[in-house]
This record gives sequence, structure tokens and C-alpha cells, in this order.
Amino acid sequence: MTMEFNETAGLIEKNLETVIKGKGESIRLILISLFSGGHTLLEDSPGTGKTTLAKSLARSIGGIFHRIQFTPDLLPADITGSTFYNQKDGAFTFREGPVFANVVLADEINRTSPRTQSALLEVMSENQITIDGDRRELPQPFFVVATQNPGDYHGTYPLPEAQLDRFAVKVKLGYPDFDNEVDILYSQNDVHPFETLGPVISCRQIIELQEAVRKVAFDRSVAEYLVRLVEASRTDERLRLGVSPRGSLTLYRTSQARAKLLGRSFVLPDDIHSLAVPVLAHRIMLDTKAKYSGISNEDIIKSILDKVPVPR
Amino acid sequence: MTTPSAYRFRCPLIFAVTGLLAIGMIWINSGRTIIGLLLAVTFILPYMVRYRLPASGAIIWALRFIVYLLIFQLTKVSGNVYTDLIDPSTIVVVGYLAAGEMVLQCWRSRPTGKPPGLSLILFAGVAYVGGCFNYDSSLDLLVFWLTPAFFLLLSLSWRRIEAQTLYDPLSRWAKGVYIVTLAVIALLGFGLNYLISDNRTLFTSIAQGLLNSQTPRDTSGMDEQPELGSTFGLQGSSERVLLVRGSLPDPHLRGASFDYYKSRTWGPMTNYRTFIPCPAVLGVPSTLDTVVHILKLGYASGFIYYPLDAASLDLDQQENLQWSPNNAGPIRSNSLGRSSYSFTESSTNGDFTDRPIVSSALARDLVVPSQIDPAVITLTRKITRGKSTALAKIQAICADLDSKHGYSLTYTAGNGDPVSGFILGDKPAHCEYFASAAVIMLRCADIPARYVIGYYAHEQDDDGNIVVRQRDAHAWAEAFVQGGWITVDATPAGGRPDKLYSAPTRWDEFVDDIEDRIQLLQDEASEIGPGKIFAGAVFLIGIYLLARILIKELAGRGARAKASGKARQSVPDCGQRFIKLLEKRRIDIPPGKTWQEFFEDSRDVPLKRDTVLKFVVEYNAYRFGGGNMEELNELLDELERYEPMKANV
Repeated sequence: MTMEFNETAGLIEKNLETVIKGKGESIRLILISLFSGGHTLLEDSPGTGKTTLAKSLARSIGGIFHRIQFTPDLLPADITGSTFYNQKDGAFTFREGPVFANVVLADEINRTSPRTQSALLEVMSENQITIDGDRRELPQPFFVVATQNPGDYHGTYPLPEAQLDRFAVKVKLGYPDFDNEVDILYSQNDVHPFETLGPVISCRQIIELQEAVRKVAFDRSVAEYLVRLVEASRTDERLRLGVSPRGSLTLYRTSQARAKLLGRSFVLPDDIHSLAVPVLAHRIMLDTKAKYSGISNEDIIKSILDKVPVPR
Repeated sequence: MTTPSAYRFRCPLIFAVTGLLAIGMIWINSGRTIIGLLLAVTFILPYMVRYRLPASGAIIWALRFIVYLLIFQLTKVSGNVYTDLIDPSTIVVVGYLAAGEMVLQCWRSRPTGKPPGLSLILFAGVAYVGGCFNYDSSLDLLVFWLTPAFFLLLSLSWRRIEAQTLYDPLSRWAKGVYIVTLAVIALLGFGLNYLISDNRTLFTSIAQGLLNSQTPRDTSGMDEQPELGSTFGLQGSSERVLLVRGSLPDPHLRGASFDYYKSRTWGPMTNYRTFIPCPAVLGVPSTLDTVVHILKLGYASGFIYYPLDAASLDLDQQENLQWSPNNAGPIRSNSLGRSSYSFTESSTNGDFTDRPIVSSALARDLVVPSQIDPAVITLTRKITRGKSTALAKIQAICADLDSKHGYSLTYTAGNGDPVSGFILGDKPAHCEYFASAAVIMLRCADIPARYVIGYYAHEQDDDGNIVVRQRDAHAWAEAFVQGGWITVDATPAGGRPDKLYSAPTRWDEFVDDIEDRIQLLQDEASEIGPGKIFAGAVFLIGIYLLARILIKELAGRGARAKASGKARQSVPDCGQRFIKLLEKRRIDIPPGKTWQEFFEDSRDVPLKRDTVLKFVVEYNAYRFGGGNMEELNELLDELERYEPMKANV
């Protein structure tokens, strides 16, 4: 590997922080999901910088970047591409849709119909598309950043659980703090800092880093701890749906990525602790009673973390 | 983020040994204390330096370029022409480049979690190579054995380092060390360069030796057609060739003789001679003569060796032998491997073949080749003027050669015929030249003479046998005087194998011993009957079955432990000790919190905060990352020693 891991990650973080101020933790989560080979869902109220962050990340990575603005009338073929009859040479030609890119920004994914959503989500898990019987490989790395407004806003089709499960992490941005917000006002005075952003890492490097993540050691006791957490979520009576095996697999891989990002060659229970909420919270479903008693998914995951003993 | 552990000097034992080995090599060889000290310091310092430059990108290459440019500028050597193989100016530049590279490697930035050792190990390698190239022949055995040891230790230290340096140490005082390191490493570059350039003649001879070893040679030690080379190629090879049981009044064991000389080669080539099957016994054995047995060892496609005064020859393996009577031998064997023969020695009756001396054959040995410089003939006449007998002439010729030439294993021939050049000049040369010169000069003095190759048997072993080694190969002349052939060895006494290789080294003895043991085993093996084979097979199968059972038992134990989860789940001793300490100090940590989370959040625990954080980081590395636990117990000791103020408890 030509470039060292946390150097590269540091470069991207620095690059992004020129645009998004005071969101180091969120940025790191996105990088973890990128290096673990997963996809990211950004969720927050309108105007908190979701799209800017996703766009900035795409710009920081050299490679093809496409943005899809999800609207209620968008059709699956608008995403995946379609064959059309070319009158010039009298044959059917395939025109690639916007998913043929290294970084795809699926903006406001919950504004389109479930049919179109599932078209994208299928691509996300398979890394390939079959159209008219032809299998087409997607470019590597393939990284989707989707943004959405919280479910109860007008004009949204909430993503079903099965589809939420395909995102490695769900990141909430939240409002900036006082000082940072003041800085934001000044920084955009002349030109949006986004305009000056350039790529700092190549696709090839990302693939190398993803491979490096898989080599991080995972002690059996930590793995058992991970599974115990997941099992606790399946037996928790406040939950209608616990964490899937895909969820534990994702937590495993993202923990490796976090360890690597922090310069370790082995995973600690601490990695699982700090990733449990962003990786697991969107995969569980509260039962009706819990929902109306004001408990959030995050609270449940936190209570499980407190309950299951950590390996010493 | 993980808190980096505070700076601590770590030096794995094996790495230290590796370093000391290299330092020791240079120290011993240089005999200069100051260089050894410099090396010691330089070994330790890069360990303490935090890496600065980014590992990739333009800056490192720009710096490298600048450093190299400076080195080339500073070390520009004026246009001297060196005849040596290795140009000293090249060595200067290489020395400086090595130093420059080391400086850059030490300043590389290195993120945490990566093994940091490559530059250090490279450095150890450079130092070691420097030590080895500063070659002293008395230490060559040491170097020979240290080389595999060095690589073994290197690989071990690499593994240790990978596990151990999981955190990049950061130290405030290390900053000051940067500059010192820089200076010391630059000094080291000078030192290394000094060492290497100081010993360039050694380099040259080593390189030449290597080149010579690459040229293919007849392993029997004797050429089918002797050629006058620039070096005598058999130097140093201590492989045993013959084992002589009995006494040899004349140490010259002849293999083959040659009559024709043409452009630096002696002929006729052995392969072109007429060979006939050899009778079992040559000559007439007499009861008065002493019998000498010869055991031929190893690769034996060469000749049968015997002294000139052998009266008869008794060859055990007659069917494989053939000889060429028209050319005074040689007798050669086609069989490979060991063989033995014996001959009888007689002081009165030489030349066992009883062959009538044919005048045409003698005439052949009187021909002075046309390419020989006429000045040689004039010179020989001048030397032998007034000497009435052939023996006196021979003595005069040998004395002349001895007075003008010394002995040297290398000889650079000028233009023209090399033998004439040698006779008329005064340069030292090896035995091939002395023998050729003697033959030519004898012929100039009208004495029939021929060129002979063979062995000079001189080395007595403990059992009273004479050991002949490959390096005892020799060339000399034979002259026909008073109706018989006599040996004329013109090589100065100091150049004969008995002076060059007076005694076998301990290494030679060791190799001989091993060879003998292997031979014994082979002899034993050739006598093995079906009973022994059966017993051996039973023994081997028994061992195999036992090993299988043991391996299965051990593997099964491991698997059972794993399945019950006990092997990986148990908290290691130092963890147990820490838990006890926590109980003693009444620190209650919720089960759902990791130690790191807990101690980072809570500021007022009755434990030394820095130490406890350090301990947790180290413990995690040991427990979950397979790091080492050497320092954990020390940290625990420190934690237990620290007593909080009574009021706080």
C-alpha cells in the first residue's frame, strides 16, 4: 500500500471540514462506512448540510460522481439506465443510468416511490445490474450516500426496514453549534468553499484501503461480545424486530474500519460501543407500546450496551 | 481517539542482539573504537525519533533528489583512472547515498499501527554488510556462520516489532534528538564510506575470487589440456582427492605429461591420445620395493597418480582403466566414485612400464617451439655455459628462475608468447609458468623435457596417511638425464603447496570428519540386508504412528478448549490482578462500560490517572491485539505502589 491509512483518512477529513464545520464525528462515520465497503444514509431536517456533505465527499474522491435527485415521478429505469432504439444504426443501444458511478448521491431518497427506491437498493447490495438479460458490473468502489428527511415530513415514502438494513450506517448531522454557525456565515461570504474542493484520494487507493480493513484482527471474545449484543436486541421485549445477521456482519466490518482509522491493527470493545448506535439503531423496530412511550431506537441500543457485560 | 501511550523506549531483545552483532562485526574488523561507539548510538537513536515526513508524495522525492545531488557534488572525484575492479569514487558515492537514505528513512512520517522497523532493519543490514565487507581472512569463518544467524534474527525481530509497536511514541524531548540523530547518521555515512574505501583492495580481490569461482573447471583438478592462465585457479579448495598409505620419498604424484607447446597450451590433449585397455599389473613388482596404497576419493574421472620412481602399479579395477603408452601415460579411469590402487616404489628402477625409450619420442621432447623468443635460447646458453653435466645445467636453470621470479597466484601476461615473456622478465608467477619455463629452457639446453601435472603430496594426517587435497595441484617438469626421467620442480620453495597450505584448518578437519562419517554410513548402507531393512521400516512406521497420535491428541485438546470458549474467554493474569486492585480500591465499573471509557470519563479515581490510562491501552493491545505483556506487570506494580490520600478513600 503506497499510502498509509489514517493519513489518507485524515486528508479526506481535513478536506471535508473546510466545507462542513464542526461535524468531525459524522464525517468519520461516513469514512468508516466507505472503508468498510458499506453505504451511508444521512438523515436530518432540511438545511443542515446533508447534500453539501455528500457532494463534498464525492468531490474528495477522484472518480465518477453522479447525483440523483429523487422525486415522486422518478422511475427505476431513470436510475439504472435503459435500452433505446438507435435509428441511425438500427439497433438497440444501452444507455447507462446515473448509478454507473463510483460515488452516487441519492438525494432525498424518501421522496420517491418504493418501486424506484428498491431499484437502487437492489443495486447497492448486488453491485451489479441485470437489464434485458444482460449483466452489467458497476464500477469499483461503489459507494452510495443517500439523504433523507425524517419520516414524518410531508410528501415522503419512508424506506421499509428491509431496505434500511442495506445501509451500513445512518448518520444524523444535527445543527451546528453557535461558534461554528457564525463561522459558516463568514465562510460563505465570497464563494462557497465547496467550489474550491478537489479530489485527495483515488478509487484505486480506496480499494486498497478497503482490503487493508479486512486484515484488522478481531479477537474471538470481542466477536462473541458483538453477537451477544445482537442477540440481546432479538430478545428485547420492547422490539418488534431485532438486528439481522447482516447487521452483525456490518458491525463487524465497520469496527475493523474504525480500528484501522484510529491506527490500530485490532478491534476493541470500544469500537463496537461507539459504532453500535449508528450501525444498529436503524435496523430495529420498536413495538407500538414502546413507540408511544417516547423511547427512541438509539435509547434501546444504548440500554442494551449497558446491560451486556464487556469482555475484559 | 485512542490516547497514545506516553513515550517509552522499547527495544526488543532480539533486535538488540541483531544490532550488537552488526556493531560487533564492524568493531572487530575496524579496530577503531570510535566507529563502534558511533554505530551503537545510531542504532538506538532512530528508535526514539518520531517520523516526520509523509510516507509518500512529492516532498520525499524532492528531498531525496536534493540530498543525492549534494552528495554527488560533494564527492566529485577528479578524473583519476583506477585499474581496480571497483572504482573508489563509486564506493564514496555509495557510502554517502546509504547515509542519505538512512536520514530520510528516519524522518519519514509513520502513522500508528504500522510496523516501524523497516528503516531500522535496513540500517542493521547496511551496518552488517559494512562489517562483512571489511573482510579479514582470519574472520571469514565467523562471517560464514553469522550470515544465516543474522537473517534468522532479522526475521524474528521483524515479527516482534510488528506486534509490539502498536502505538507511535510521542515525546517532547525526542524533538531535540532529531538534530543529534541527523548529525550522527551523517557521521556514520562518513565512517562507513571510510571503512569501505579503505579496504578497496580487499574488495577487488574478493570480487576477483568470485569471478574466478564462476569459470567452469574440471572438478578432478586436472585439465585435459593445461593452459597458462592469469591465475592458478585451484587455490583454496580443500576437498580431499587422494589418501596415500605409505611413504613417498618424492612428493610429486604425476598424473599426465605433455610434450607439445603451442600458444600458451600444452598438448597433446588427453582426449586425442590413443588409449588401450590397461593390464592389471604394470611393471615388475619386486619383493624389495615398498608398497604404497592410494585411495582415490570423490569424483574420480581423472588420472591415476603415481610417483616417477614407481616400479610397478597394481590396479584393482582393471576393467575400467585404460592407458596411453605412446605418451608416457596417462592411465585414466572411467569409473566414478572411490577406487583404490597400489604401486611399489624403487629407488633404483624407475619407470615401471619398462618401455624402451624410443629416440623419436625423445626427439619430440627436444623441440623448442617456433614461437619462443630467440632471446630465450641465447639466455639459456649464457646460463648453462661452462656446465658440463646435464644435472649442473638443470641446477643452473632452476637457480636462474628462482633468482629472478617470486611466487604469485596471479600473473598478467603481456603481448607475445607468455612463457618467453615470463623467462625474459622478472615478474612473479605461479607453478604453471615455472614448469613451462623450465621445460622450454631445458630443451634449449638440449635436455629432453616434458611438462607434468599432478599433485604435490605433503600433508600428514594423524593416522600417518598422506592427505592430498585439490589445492595441492601442481605442475612441474621432467627431464631425461642419463637414460632415465627425473623430476625438475622449478617453482620456488615458497610457492609449493606445502608452504602455501602448511596445515589443514580446523574447518578442513571438520569437513573431512563429516565426509568420513558419511562414507562410513554409505559403506554400512551397502551391506544392509533384508532384515535390517525390515527393522528400519518397522521403526519408521512406529515413529510415524506415534507422531500422528500425538498430533491428533493435541489438536483435539485445542479444539475442545475452543468449543467451550474457555481458551479465548479467560481474562489473563494481569487482567485478574487489575480487577483485584479495582476491588481493593473500591472502584466499581459498570459491566457495560469498557475500562477505557470509564477511566477517560471519571477523573477522581484513587489511581494514578496517567498510569491507569496507559495500562488500559497496553492491556487492550495485549488482550485483543496479541501485543506483548512485558510492561503490563511493571505498570501494575506502579499502580499498586501509588497510595491515594487517605481523605480520598
